[in-house]
Amino acid sequence: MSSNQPNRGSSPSVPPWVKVFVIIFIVILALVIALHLMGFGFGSHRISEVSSPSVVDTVDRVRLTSIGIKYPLQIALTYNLPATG
Amino acid sequence: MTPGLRKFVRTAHITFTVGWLGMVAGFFALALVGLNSRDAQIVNAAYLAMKMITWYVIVPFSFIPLLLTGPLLSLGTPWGLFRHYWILAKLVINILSTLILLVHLQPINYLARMAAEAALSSADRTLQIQMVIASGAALVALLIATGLAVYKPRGMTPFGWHKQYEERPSS
Repeated sequence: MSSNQPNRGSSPSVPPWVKVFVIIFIVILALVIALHLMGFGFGSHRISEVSSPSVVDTVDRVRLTSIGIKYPLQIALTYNLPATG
Repeated sequence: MTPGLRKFVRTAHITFTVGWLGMVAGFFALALVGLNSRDAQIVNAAYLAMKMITWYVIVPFSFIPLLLTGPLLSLGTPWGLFRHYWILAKLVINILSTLILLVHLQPINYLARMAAEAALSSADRTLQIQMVIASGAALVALLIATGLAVYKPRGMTPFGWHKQYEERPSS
């Protein structure tokens, strides 16, 4: 640590690594904002919408049941579906 | 700050920051398992574990260095909080990582609740992917912060430069 103590002769010019850091920071910030605007960020919008197995899953179960597909006992008991065996 | 106290605070700071990094790595692994595993029990266990380590480890491990040990170390030593670019960069990374964590607390709670009810479905896939991306990004950011703390790249801010000359004894 002592090799990098404050040096009185330092120039106030911005070092190259800081410029790179700022550029990367801006790019990441832009990406996060873009993802959020595309509806892929933070997810809070749809949390309240889905609180049970999705509609697609339910429809699939009904369709498979209607064509005679049966389920392993554990799944059948859980979802009240026709069981195999 | 006395040398003994400084060593104690530095030890606490290293412990909490590296612990935070390690826990985020664990969270990232669980998020990957939750996204990719085909075993429903493992997926549910992963999201429940993610909630536990978030609330009981990651949240305290992120706030203590940001609000306590970091400011104590920088303000209690000649390094200062705003005098060197590497310290400023670490501060920005820590604030952003904590903000990202706070923003994701609600989705983490939601996924854990769904996992507890064995109600995770394909509709939750976006959130599951989001957990992987957010924790992966946080992991990279914390690795960069650790690298900055070890290498301490040169560069003084204009504030630090002026302070340095103000403090120089006139001779």
